[in-house]
Amino acid sequence: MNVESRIRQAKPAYLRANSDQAAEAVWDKLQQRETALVQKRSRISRVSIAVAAAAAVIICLIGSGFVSPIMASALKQLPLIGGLFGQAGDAGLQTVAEQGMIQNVNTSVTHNGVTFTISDMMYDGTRISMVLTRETSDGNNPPLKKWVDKSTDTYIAALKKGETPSDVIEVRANGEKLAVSRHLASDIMHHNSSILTIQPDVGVTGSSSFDLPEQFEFEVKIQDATINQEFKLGFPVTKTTNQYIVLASEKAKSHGDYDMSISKLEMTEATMQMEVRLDFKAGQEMEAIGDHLGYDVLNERGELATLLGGSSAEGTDEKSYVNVLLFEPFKELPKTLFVKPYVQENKEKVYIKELEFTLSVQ
Amino acid sequence: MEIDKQLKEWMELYYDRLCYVAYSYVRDRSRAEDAVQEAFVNAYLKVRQLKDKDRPYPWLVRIVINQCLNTIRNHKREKLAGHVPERSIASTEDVYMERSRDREVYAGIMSLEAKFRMPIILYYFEDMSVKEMAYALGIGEGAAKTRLARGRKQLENLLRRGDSDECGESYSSGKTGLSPR
Repeated sequence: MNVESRIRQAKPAYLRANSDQAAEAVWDKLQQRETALVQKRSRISRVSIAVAAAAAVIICLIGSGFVSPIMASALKQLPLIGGLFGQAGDAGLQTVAEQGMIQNVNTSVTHNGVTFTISDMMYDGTRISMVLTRETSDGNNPPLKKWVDKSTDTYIAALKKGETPSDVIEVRANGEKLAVSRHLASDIMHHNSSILTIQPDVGVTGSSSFDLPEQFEFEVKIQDATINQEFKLGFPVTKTTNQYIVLASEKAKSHGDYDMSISKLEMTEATMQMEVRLDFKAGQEMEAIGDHLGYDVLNERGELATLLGGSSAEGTDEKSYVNVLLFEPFKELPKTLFVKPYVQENKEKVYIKELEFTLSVQ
Repeated sequence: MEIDKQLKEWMELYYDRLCYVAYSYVRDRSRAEDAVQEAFVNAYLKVRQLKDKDRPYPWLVRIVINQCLNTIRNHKREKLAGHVPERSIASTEDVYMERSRDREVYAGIMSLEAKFRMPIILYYFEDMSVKEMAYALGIGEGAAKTRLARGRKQLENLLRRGDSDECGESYSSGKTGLSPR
Protein backbone atom coordinates (compact mmCIF):
# COMPACT_ATOMS: atom_id res chain seq x y z
CA MET A 1 0.00 0.00 0.00
CA ASN A 2 1.42 3.40 -0.90
CA VAL A 3 1.97 6.08 1.71
CA GLU A 4 -1.00 8.20 0.62
CA SER A 5 -3.42 5.31 1.04
CA ARG A 6 -1.93 4.52 4.42
CA ILE A 7 -2.27 8.14 5.52
CA ARG A 8 -5.95 8.12 4.57
CA GLN A 9 -6.43 4.89 6.48
CA ALA A 10 -4.74 6.39 9.54
CA LYS A 11 -7.44 9.03 9.92
CA PRO A 12 -8.85 8.50 13.43
CA ALA A 13 -12.55 8.36 14.22
CA TYR A 14 -13.57 11.63 15.87
CA LEU A 15 -14.38 11.72 19.54
CA ARG A 16 -18.04 12.66 20.03
CA ALA A 17 -18.61 15.65 22.26
CA ASN A 18 -21.77 16.25 24.23
CA SER A 19 -23.39 18.73 21.85
CA ASP A 20 -25.63 20.36 24.49
CA GLN A 21 -22.69 20.97 26.80
CA ALA A 22 -20.58 22.26 23.93
CA ALA A 23 -23.32 24.70 22.84
CA GLU A 24 -23.79 25.84 26.42
CA ALA A 25 -20.04 26.47 26.76
CA VAL A 26 -19.93 28.48 23.53
CA TRP A 27 -22.86 30.71 24.56
CA ASP A 28 -21.30 31.23 27.98
CA LYS A 29 -18.01 32.26 26.38
CA LEU A 30 -19.87 34.56 24.03
CA GLN A 31 -21.59 36.21 26.95
CA GLN A 32 -18.28 36.59 28.81
CA ARG A 33 -16.62 38.05 25.72
CA GLU A 34 -19.41 40.56 25.15
CA THR A 35 -19.32 41.60 28.79
CA ALA A 36 -15.54 42.01 28.61
CA LEU A 37 -15.84 44.04 25.41
CA VAL A 38 -18.41 46.31 26.97
CA GLN A 39 -16.17 46.82 30.00
CA LYS A 40 -13.09 47.37 27.86
CA ARG A 41 -14.63 49.70 25.34
CA SER A 42 -17.15 51.60 27.33
CA ARG A 43 -14.83 53.46 29.63
CA ILE A 44 -15.83 56.45 27.61
CA SER A 45 -17.00 58.45 30.57
CA ARG A 46 -14.38 60.22 32.58
CA VAL A 47 -14.99 61.99 35.83
CA SER A 48 -14.59 65.72 35.55
CA ILE A 49 -13.04 67.51 38.48
CA ALA A 50 -13.89 70.97 37.17
CA VAL A 51 -17.61 70.79 37.77
CA ALA A 52 -20.03 72.23 40.24
CA ALA A 53 -19.76 70.61 43.65
CA ALA A 54 -23.17 68.91 43.64
CA ALA A 55 -22.59 67.33 40.26
CA ALA A 56 -19.05 66.31 41.21
CA VAL A 57 -20.43 64.39 44.19
CA ILE A 58 -22.97 62.67 41.98
CA ILE A 59 -20.41 61.62 39.42
CA CYS A 60 -17.71 60.59 41.83
CA LEU A 61 -20.08 58.40 43.78
CA ILE A 62 -21.58 56.85 40.69
CA GLY A 63 -18.18 56.50 39.09
CA SER A 64 -16.95 54.57 42.11
CA GLY A 65 -19.78 52.11 41.62
CA PHE A 66 -21.22 52.66 45.08
CA VAL A 67 -24.57 54.30 45.68
CA SER A 68 -26.31 53.62 48.98
CA PRO A 69 -30.14 53.55 48.88
CA ILE A 70 -30.32 56.75 50.95
CA MET A 71 -27.77 58.52 48.82
CA ALA A 72 -29.40 57.22 45.62
CA SER A 73 -32.63 58.84 46.69
CA ALA A 74 -30.80 62.09 47.44
CA LEU A 75 -28.96 61.98 44.13
CA LYS A 76 -32.21 61.81 42.23
CA GLN A 77 -33.17 65.19 43.67
CA LEU A 78 -30.04 66.86 42.31
CA PRO A 79 -30.01 68.06 38.71
CA LEU A 80 -27.07 67.14 36.52
CA ILE A 81 -25.80 70.62 35.85
CA GLY A 82 -25.01 71.18 32.17
CA GLY A 83 -26.15 67.73 31.07
CA LEU A 84 -24.37 64.39 31.11
CA PHE A 85 -21.97 65.17 28.24
CA GLY A 86 -20.55 68.14 30.11
CA GLN A 87 -20.41 66.37 33.46
CA ALA A 88 -19.48 62.80 32.72
CA GLY A 89 -18.49 62.62 29.09
CA ASP A 90 -14.93 62.10 27.88
CA ALA A 91 -12.82 65.18 27.10
CA GLY A 92 -14.12 65.31 23.52
CA LEU A 93 -17.77 65.30 24.57
CA GLN A 94 -17.06 67.91 27.21
CA THR A 95 -15.46 70.12 24.55
CA VAL A 96 -18.45 69.90 22.21
CA ALA A 97 -20.78 70.51 25.17
CA GLU A 98 -18.79 73.64 26.09
CA GLN A 99 -18.82 74.83 22.48
CA GLY A 100 -22.57 74.27 22.19
CA MET A 101 -22.16 71.74 19.41
CA ILE A 102 -24.50 69.15 20.85
CA GLN A 103 -28.00 68.63 19.47
CA ASN A 104 -30.84 68.77 21.93
CA VAL A 105 -33.04 65.92 20.73
CA ASN A 106 -35.33 65.30 23.69
CA THR A 107 -37.36 62.48 22.24
CA SER A 108 -39.19 59.99 24.47
CA VAL A 109 -41.30 56.88 24.12
CA THR A 110 -43.38 55.34 26.91
CA HIS A 111 -44.72 51.77 27.15
CA ASN A 112 -46.15 50.02 30.22
CA GLY A 113 -44.95 52.72 32.60
CA VAL A 114 -41.38 52.79 31.28
CA THR A 115 -40.05 55.80 29.39
CA PHE A 116 -36.83 55.86 27.36
CA THR A 117 -35.54 59.32 26.51
CA ILE A 118 -32.68 60.41 24.30
CA SER A 119 -31.86 63.98 25.26
CA ASP A 120 -28.52 65.27 23.96
CA MET A 121 -26.65 63.81 21.02
CA MET A 122 -23.50 64.49 19.03
CA TYR A 123 -22.41 63.21 15.59
CA ASP A 124 -19.01 64.12 14.16
CA GLY A 125 -18.62 61.55 11.38
CA THR A 126 -16.76 59.02 13.52
CA ARG A 127 -19.18 58.39 16.37
CA ILE A 128 -22.75 59.10 17.44
CA SER A 129 -22.97 59.73 21.17
CA MET A 130 -26.25 60.30 22.97
CA VAL A 131 -27.59 60.57 26.49
CA LEU A 132 -29.99 57.71 27.19
CA THR A 133 -32.33 57.80 30.18
CA ARG A 134 -34.81 55.19 31.44
CA GLU A 135 -37.54 56.29 33.83
CA THR A 136 -40.36 54.37 35.47
CA SER A 137 -43.80 55.81 36.21
CA ASP A 138 -43.55 54.82 39.89
CA GLY A 139 -40.64 57.24 40.19
CA ASN A 140 -38.21 54.58 41.35
CA ASN A 141 -36.06 54.88 38.21
CA PRO A 142 -33.93 51.80 38.82
CA PRO A 143 -30.27 51.85 37.67
CA LEU A 144 -29.79 51.46 33.95
CA LYS A 145 -27.63 48.43 34.66
CA LYS A 146 -30.72 46.43 35.65
CA TRP A 147 -32.28 46.90 32.22
CA VAL A 148 -28.95 46.13 30.47
CA ASP A 149 -28.31 42.97 32.51
CA LYS A 150 -31.86 41.63 32.18
CA SER A 151 -32.05 42.35 28.45
CA THR A 152 -28.61 40.84 27.79
CA ASP A 153 -29.47 37.70 29.81
CA THR A 154 -32.75 37.33 27.91
CA TYR A 155 -30.92 37.76 24.61
CA ILE A 156 -28.38 35.06 25.48
CA ALA A 157 -31.09 32.71 26.79
CA ALA A 158 -32.96 33.04 23.49
CA LEU A 159 -29.76 32.28 21.58
CA LYS A 160 -29.22 29.16 23.65
CA LYS A 161 -32.70 27.98 22.69
CA GLY A 162 -31.85 28.41 19.03
CA GLU A 163 -34.09 31.46 18.63
CA THR A 164 -33.14 34.64 16.83
CA PRO A 165 -33.62 37.52 19.26
CA SER A 166 -33.51 41.19 18.27
CA ASP A 167 -30.42 43.18 19.26
CA VAL A 168 -30.79 44.89 22.63
CA ILE A 169 -29.98 48.14 20.83
CA GLU A 170 -30.35 48.40 17.05
CA VAL A 171 -29.80 51.57 15.02
CA ARG A 172 -30.96 52.64 11.56
CA ALA A 173 -30.08 55.62 9.37
CA ASN A 174 -32.66 56.58 6.73
CA GLY A 175 -34.30 53.19 7.32
CA GLU A 176 -31.10 51.15 6.75
CA LYS A 177 -29.84 49.02 9.62
CA LEU A 178 -26.26 50.02 10.51
CA ALA A 179 -23.50 47.56 11.39
CA VAL A 180 -22.24 49.15 14.56
CA SER A 181 -20.70 48.58 17.94
CA ARG A 182 -22.55 50.07 20.89
CA HIS A 183 -20.97 51.28 24.10
CA LEU A 184 -22.74 52.37 27.25
CA ALA A 185 -20.54 54.26 29.65
CA SER A 186 -20.35 51.76 32.48
CA ASP A 187 -19.04 54.28 35.01
CA ILE A 188 -22.41 56.02 35.12
CA MET A 189 -24.73 53.10 34.36
CA HIS A 190 -25.60 52.80 38.05
CA HIS A 191 -27.81 55.83 37.62
CA ASN A 192 -30.75 55.70 35.21
CA SER A 193 -28.90 57.73 32.55
CA SER A 194 -25.77 56.91 30.62
CA ILE A 195 -23.93 57.89 27.45
CA LEU A 196 -24.54 55.56 24.55
CA THR A 197 -21.91 55.70 21.82
CA ILE A 198 -22.41 54.14 18.41
CA GLN A 199 -19.46 53.47 16.10
CA PRO A 200 -19.10 51.57 12.81
CA ASP A 201 -18.29 47.89 13.22
CA VAL A 202 -15.02 47.88 11.31
CA GLY A 203 -15.16 44.08 11.00
CA VAL A 204 -18.24 44.46 8.81
CA THR A 205 -17.90 47.86 7.16
CA GLY A 206 -14.12 47.77 6.64
CA SER A 207 -13.95 51.40 7.76
CA SER A 208 -13.82 53.20 11.06
CA SER A 209 -15.88 56.11 9.71
CA PHE A 210 -19.58 56.24 8.98
CA ASP A 211 -20.62 56.35 5.34
CA LEU A 212 -23.55 58.65 5.99
CA PRO A 213 -24.76 61.97 4.60
CA GLU A 214 -24.40 65.25 6.53
CA GLN A 215 -28.05 64.91 7.59
CA PHE A 216 -30.14 61.78 8.04
CA GLU A 217 -33.08 60.32 9.93
CA PHE A 218 -31.86 58.21 12.82
CA GLU A 219 -33.76 55.49 14.67
CA VAL A 220 -32.76 53.71 17.87
CA LYS A 221 -34.61 50.48 18.65
CA ILE A 222 -34.33 49.31 22.25
CA GLN A 223 -35.44 45.98 23.69
CA ASP A 224 -36.48 46.11 27.33
CA ALA A 225 -36.69 42.55 28.64
CA THR A 226 -37.83 43.69 32.09
CA ILE A 227 -41.25 44.49 30.55
CA ASN A 228 -40.84 42.52 27.32
CA GLN A 229 -41.29 45.61 25.19
CA GLU A 230 -39.62 47.26 22.21
CA PHE A 231 -39.04 51.03 22.10
CA LYS A 232 -38.42 53.00 18.89
CA LEU A 233 -36.97 56.48 19.14
CA GLY A 234 -36.45 58.50 15.96
CA PHE A 235 -34.94 61.91 15.30
CA PRO A 236 -33.03 63.83 12.62
CA VAL A 237 -29.24 63.98 12.94
CA THR A 238 -26.89 66.63 11.55
CA LYS A 239 -23.13 66.28 11.46
CA THR A 240 -21.74 69.02 13.65
CA THR A 241 -18.05 69.69 13.45
CA ASN A 242 -16.05 72.79 12.67
CA GLN A 243 -12.78 70.92 12.61
CA TYR A 244 -12.25 67.82 10.54
CA ILE A 245 -8.63 66.89 9.86
CA VAL A 246 -7.57 63.61 8.29
CA LEU A 247 -3.95 62.48 8.31
CA ALA A 248 -2.33 59.34 6.92
CA SER A 249 1.17 57.92 6.76
CA GLU A 250 2.91 58.44 3.44
CA LYS A 251 4.23 54.91 3.24
CA ALA A 252 4.14 51.64 5.12
CA LYS A 253 6.88 50.51 7.51
CA SER A 254 8.02 46.91 7.90
CA HIS A 255 8.58 44.73 10.91
CA GLY A 256 9.00 40.96 10.76
CA ASP A 257 6.36 39.46 8.51
CA TYR A 258 4.15 42.49 8.20
CA ASP A 259 3.93 46.09 7.01
CA MET A 260 2.17 48.78 9.00
CA SER A 261 0.58 51.98 7.76
CA ILE A 262 -1.72 54.56 9.30
CA SER A 263 -4.55 54.58 6.84
CA LYS A 264 -6.43 57.34 8.62
CA LEU A 265 -6.09 59.53 11.69
CA GLU A 266 -9.17 61.71 12.06
CA MET A 267 -9.38 64.68 14.39
CA THR A 268 -12.59 66.50 15.24
CA GLU A 269 -13.38 68.59 18.29
CA ALA A 270 -14.88 65.48 19.90
CA THR A 271 -12.75 62.62 18.66
CA MET A 272 -9.27 61.55 17.69
CA GLN A 273 -9.52 58.22 15.93
CA MET A 274 -6.71 56.26 14.33
CA GLU A 275 -7.06 53.40 11.86
CA VAL A 276 -3.93 51.28 11.50
CA ARG A 277 -3.57 48.77 8.72
CA LEU A 278 -1.31 45.74 8.98
CA ASP A 279 -0.44 43.87 5.78
CA PHE A 280 0.91 40.39 6.28
CA LYS A 281 3.02 38.32 3.92
CA ALA A 282 1.10 35.31 5.21
CA GLY A 283 -2.16 35.37 7.12
CA GLN A 284 -1.19 32.89 9.81
CA GLU A 285 -0.20 35.13 12.69
CA MET A 286 -2.45 38.01 11.70
CA GLU A 287 -4.94 37.99 14.52
CA ALA A 288 -2.41 36.96 17.14
CA ILE A 289 -0.13 39.88 16.23
CA GLY A 290 -2.85 42.42 15.44
CA ASP A 291 -4.65 41.92 18.74
CA HIS A 292 -1.49 42.30 20.81
CA LEU A 293 -0.26 45.60 19.43
CA GLY A 294 -0.75 48.78 21.41
CA TYR A 295 -0.20 52.36 20.32
CA ASP A 296 0.93 55.47 22.13
CA VAL A 297 0.11 58.76 20.42
CA LEU A 298 1.98 61.85 21.63
CA ASN A 299 1.97 65.51 20.61
CA GLU A 300 5.03 67.70 20.06
CA ARG A 301 5.09 68.50 23.79
CA GLY A 302 5.37 64.84 24.70
CA GLU A 303 1.81 64.66 26.07
CA LEU A 304 0.25 61.23 25.73
CA ALA A 305 -3.26 60.95 24.28
CA THR A 306 -5.71 59.11 26.53
CA LEU A 307 -7.04 55.92 24.99
CA LEU A 308 -10.81 55.53 25.21
CA GLY A 309 -11.29 52.25 23.44
CA GLY A 310 -10.50 50.22 20.41
CA SER A 311 -11.45 47.38 18.14
CA SER A 312 -9.78 45.23 15.54
CA ALA A 313 -10.83 43.11 12.61
CA GLU A 314 -9.53 41.13 9.70
CA GLY A 315 -9.28 43.24 6.54
CA THR A 316 -11.22 42.60 3.38
CA ASP A 317 -8.37 40.92 1.50
CA GLU A 318 -7.58 38.10 3.98
CA LYS A 319 -3.97 39.22 4.49
CA SER A 320 -4.61 42.47 6.24
CA TYR A 321 -5.70 43.38 9.73
CA VAL A 322 -7.14 46.65 10.95
CA ASN A 323 -6.78 48.21 14.41
CA VAL A 324 -9.03 51.15 15.29
CA LEU A 325 -8.18 53.25 18.35
CA LEU A 326 -10.31 56.00 19.81
CA PHE A 327 -8.47 58.66 21.85
CA GLU A 328 -9.49 61.75 23.71
CA PRO A 329 -8.51 64.74 21.56
CA PHE A 330 -5.66 66.93 22.81
CA LYS A 331 -6.79 70.17 24.46
CA GLU A 332 -5.10 72.16 21.70
CA LEU A 333 -4.72 71.12 18.10
CA PRO A 334 -1.22 69.56 17.90
CA LYS A 335 1.35 70.55 15.28
CA THR A 336 2.87 67.08 15.11
CA LEU A 337 1.77 63.63 16.22
CA PHE A 338 4.11 60.78 17.10
CA VAL A 339 2.70 57.27 16.86
CA LYS A 340 4.64 54.64 18.81
CA PRO A 341 3.44 51.04 18.42
CA TYR A 342 4.37 48.61 21.15
CA VAL A 343 3.80 45.13 22.50
CA GLN A 344 3.25 44.43 26.16
CA GLU A 345 5.77 42.09 27.74
CA ASN A 346 5.57 41.35 31.46
CA LYS A 347 3.43 44.47 31.91
CA GLU A 348 6.14 46.60 30.25
CA LYS A 349 5.66 48.41 26.95
CA VAL A 350 8.27 47.31 24.43
CA TYR A 351 8.25 49.88 21.62
CA ILE A 352 8.83 48.77 18.04
CA LYS A 353 11.18 51.50 16.79
CA GLU A 354 10.99 50.62 13.11
CA LEU A 355 7.20 51.11 13.13
CA GLU A 356 7.15 54.60 14.64
CA PHE A 357 5.42 57.31 12.59
CA THR A 358 5.59 61.09 12.69
CA LEU A 359 2.57 62.88 11.26
CA SER A 360 2.59 66.59 10.58
CA VAL A 361 -0.76 68.26 11.27
CA GLN A 362 -0.13 71.63 9.63
CA MET B 1 -30.00 32.11 7.61
CA GLU B 2 -29.70 34.02 10.86
CA ILE B 3 -26.31 33.81 12.52
CA ASP B 4 -27.59 32.12 15.67
CA LYS B 5 -29.15 29.25 13.73
CA GLN B 6 -26.11 29.16 11.50
CA LEU B 7 -23.78 28.81 14.46
CA LYS B 8 -25.88 26.01 15.91
CA GLU B 9 -25.81 24.18 12.59
CA TRP B 10 -22.04 24.59 12.25
CA MET B 11 -21.55 23.27 15.76
CA GLU B 12 -23.57 20.18 14.95
CA LEU B 13 -21.72 19.62 11.69
CA TYR B 14 -18.17 20.56 12.54
CA TYR B 15 -17.57 20.65 16.29
CA ASP B 16 -16.02 17.18 16.57
CA ARG B 17 -13.94 17.61 13.41
CA LEU B 18 -12.61 20.96 14.57
CA CYS B 19 -11.78 19.52 17.98
CA TYR B 20 -9.58 17.02 16.24
CA VAL B 21 -7.85 19.72 14.16
CA ALA B 22 -7.25 21.75 17.33
CA TYR B 23 -6.04 18.66 19.17
CA SER B 24 -3.47 17.94 16.48
CA TYR B 25 -2.12 21.43 17.14
CA VAL B 26 -2.24 21.79 20.93
CA ARG B 27 -2.09 18.05 21.81
CA ASP B 28 -4.32 18.40 24.83
CA ARG B 29 -8.00 17.55 24.69
CA SER B 30 -9.38 20.14 27.08
CA ARG B 31 -7.28 22.91 25.51
CA ALA B 32 -8.43 21.77 22.09
CA GLU B 33 -12.09 21.96 23.07
CA ASP B 34 -11.53 25.32 24.68
CA ALA B 35 -9.85 26.61 21.51
CA VAL B 36 -12.74 25.38 19.36
CA GLN B 37 -15.32 27.00 21.63
CA GLU B 38 -13.41 30.30 21.52
CA ALA B 39 -13.17 29.90 17.74
CA PHE B 40 -16.96 29.54 17.48
CA VAL B 41 -17.32 32.73 19.50
CA ASN B 42 -14.94 34.46 17.05
CA ALA B 43 -16.87 33.01 14.12
CA TYR B 44 -20.10 34.36 15.58
CA LEU B 45 -18.62 37.82 16.02
CA LYS B 46 -16.99 37.89 12.59
CA VAL B 47 -19.50 35.97 10.51
CA ARG B 48 -19.85 38.77 8.00
CA GLN B 49 -16.23 38.19 6.99
CA LEU B 50 -17.11 34.72 5.70
CA LYS B 51 -16.92 34.88 1.92
CA ASP B 52 -17.83 31.38 0.74
CA LYS B 53 -21.07 30.74 2.58
CA ASP B 54 -21.51 27.38 0.85
CA ARG B 55 -18.27 26.04 2.29
CA PRO B 56 -17.56 27.58 5.68
CA TYR B 57 -15.28 24.77 6.89
CA PRO B 58 -11.91 26.20 5.70
CA TRP B 59 -12.82 29.54 7.29
CA LEU B 60 -13.68 27.82 10.57
CA VAL B 61 -10.44 25.81 10.46
CA ARG B 62 -8.50 29.03 9.93
CA ILE B 63 -10.12 30.58 13.01
CA VAL B 64 -9.45 27.43 15.05
CA ILE B 65 -5.79 27.39 14.03
CA ASN B 66 -5.36 31.06 14.95
CA GLN B 67 -6.96 30.31 18.29
CA CYS B 68 -4.60 27.37 18.82
CA LEU B 69 -1.59 29.59 18.08
CA ASN B 70 -2.88 32.03 20.68
CA THR B 71 -3.34 29.19 23.14
CA ILE B 72 0.19 27.95 22.61
CA ARG B 73 1.61 31.47 22.82
CA ASN B 74 -0.29 32.25 26.03
CA HIS B 75 0.77 28.96 27.54
CA LYS B 76 4.43 29.74 26.79
CA ARG B 77 4.01 33.23 28.24
CA GLU B 78 2.41 31.85 31.41
CA LYS B 79 5.20 29.33 31.70
CA LEU B 80 7.82 32.05 31.37
CA ALA B 81 6.03 34.10 34.00
CA GLY B 82 5.94 31.05 36.25
CA HIS B 83 2.14 30.94 36.45
CA VAL B 84 1.94 27.33 35.39
CA PRO B 85 4.24 24.46 36.27
CA GLU B 86 6.90 23.57 33.75
CA ARG B 87 5.52 20.80 31.56
CA SER B 88 4.99 20.16 27.94
CA ILE B 89 1.83 21.52 26.34
CA ALA B 90 1.32 18.11 24.75
CA SER B 91 -0.32 15.30 26.66
CA THR B 92 1.77 12.19 26.97
CA GLU B 93 -0.90 9.98 25.42
CA ASP B 94 -2.66 10.74 22.19
CA VAL B 95 -6.38 10.22 22.79
CA TYR B 96 -7.01 9.67 19.09
CA MET B 97 -4.29 7.06 18.62
CA GLU B 98 -6.46 4.07 19.41
CA ARG B 99 -9.14 5.38 17.08
CA SER B 100 -6.85 5.12 14.07
CA ARG B 101 -6.85 2.06 11.81
CA ASP B 102 -3.11 2.52 11.13
CA ARG B 103 -1.49 3.59 14.35
CA GLU B 104 2.02 3.39 13.00
CA VAL B 105 1.28 5.96 10.32
CA TYR B 106 -0.83 8.01 12.70
CA ALA B 107 2.01 8.15 15.22
CA GLY B 108 4.38 9.10 12.42
CA ILE B 109 2.19 12.00 11.36
CA MET B 110 1.87 13.24 14.91
CA SER B 111 5.63 13.12 15.39
CA LEU B 112 6.20 15.55 12.50
CA GLU B 113 6.76 19.24 13.13
CA ALA B 114 3.45 21.18 13.14
CA LYS B 115 4.24 22.94 9.89
CA PHE B 116 4.49 19.57 8.10
CA ARG B 117 1.90 17.76 10.23
CA MET B 118 -0.98 20.17 9.68
CA PRO B 119 -0.96 20.12 5.85
CA ILE B 120 -1.17 16.31 5.97
CA ILE B 121 -4.05 16.38 8.42
CA LEU B 122 -5.98 19.03 6.53
CA TYR B 123 -5.38 17.53 3.09
CA TYR B 124 -5.74 13.81 3.79
CA PHE B 125 -7.90 13.66 6.91
CA GLU B 126 -10.07 16.73 6.41
CA ASP B 127 -10.37 16.44 2.62
CA MET B 128 -9.41 20.03 1.98
CA SER B 129 -8.03 21.14 -1.38
CA VAL B 130 -4.54 22.70 -1.56
CA LYS B 131 -6.17 26.11 -1.95
CA GLU B 132 -8.40 25.63 1.09
CA MET B 133 -5.53 24.23 3.14
CA ALA B 134 -3.31 27.19 2.22
CA TYR B 135 -6.08 29.57 3.22
CA ALA B 136 -6.68 27.79 6.53
CA LEU B 137 -2.98 27.84 7.34
CA GLY B 138 -2.54 31.43 6.20
CA ILE B 139 0.22 30.55 3.73
CA GLY B 140 0.56 30.66 -0.05
CA GLU B 141 -0.53 27.71 -2.19
CA GLY B 142 3.07 27.07 -3.26
CA ALA B 143 4.23 26.88 0.35
CA ALA B 144 1.29 24.62 1.20
CA LYS B 145 2.19 22.19 -1.60
CA THR B 146 5.86 22.20 -0.56
CA ARG B 147 5.04 21.53 3.09
CA LEU B 148 2.65 18.76 2.14
CA ALA B 149 5.26 17.08 -0.06
CA ARG B 150 8.03 17.49 2.54
CA GLY B 151 5.79 16.18 5.31
CA ARG B 152 4.88 13.14 3.22
CA LYS B 153 8.56 12.54 2.43
CA GLN B 154 9.55 12.77 6.10
CA LEU B 155 6.76 10.36 6.95
CA GLU B 156 7.95 7.90 4.30
CA ASN B 157 11.46 8.08 5.74
CA LEU B 158 10.13 7.49 9.24
CA LEU B 159 8.12 4.47 8.09
CA ARG B 160 11.08 3.09 6.16
CA ARG B 161 13.30 3.39 9.21
CA GLY B 162 10.52 1.82 11.24
CA ASP B 163 10.41 -1.15 8.85
CA SER B 164 14.17 -1.72 9.15
CA ASP B 165 13.89 -1.57 12.95
CA GLU B 166 10.97 -3.96 13.02
CA CYS B 167 13.03 -7.06 13.93
CA GLY B 168 12.04 -7.15 17.56
CA GLU B 169 12.23 -3.40 18.19
CA SER B 170 9.19 -1.26 18.80
CA TYR B 171 8.84 2.28 17.47
CA SER B 172 8.29 3.76 20.85
CA SER B 173 11.82 2.87 21.86
CA GLY B 174 13.33 3.90 18.57
CA LYS B 175 14.49 7.20 17.11
CA THR B 176 11.11 8.26 15.84
CA GLY B 177 9.11 7.90 18.99
CA LEU B 178 6.41 6.00 17.07
CA SER B 179 4.13 3.58 18.82
CA PRO B 180 3.84 -0.01 17.62
CA ARG B 181 0.99 -0.78 15.24
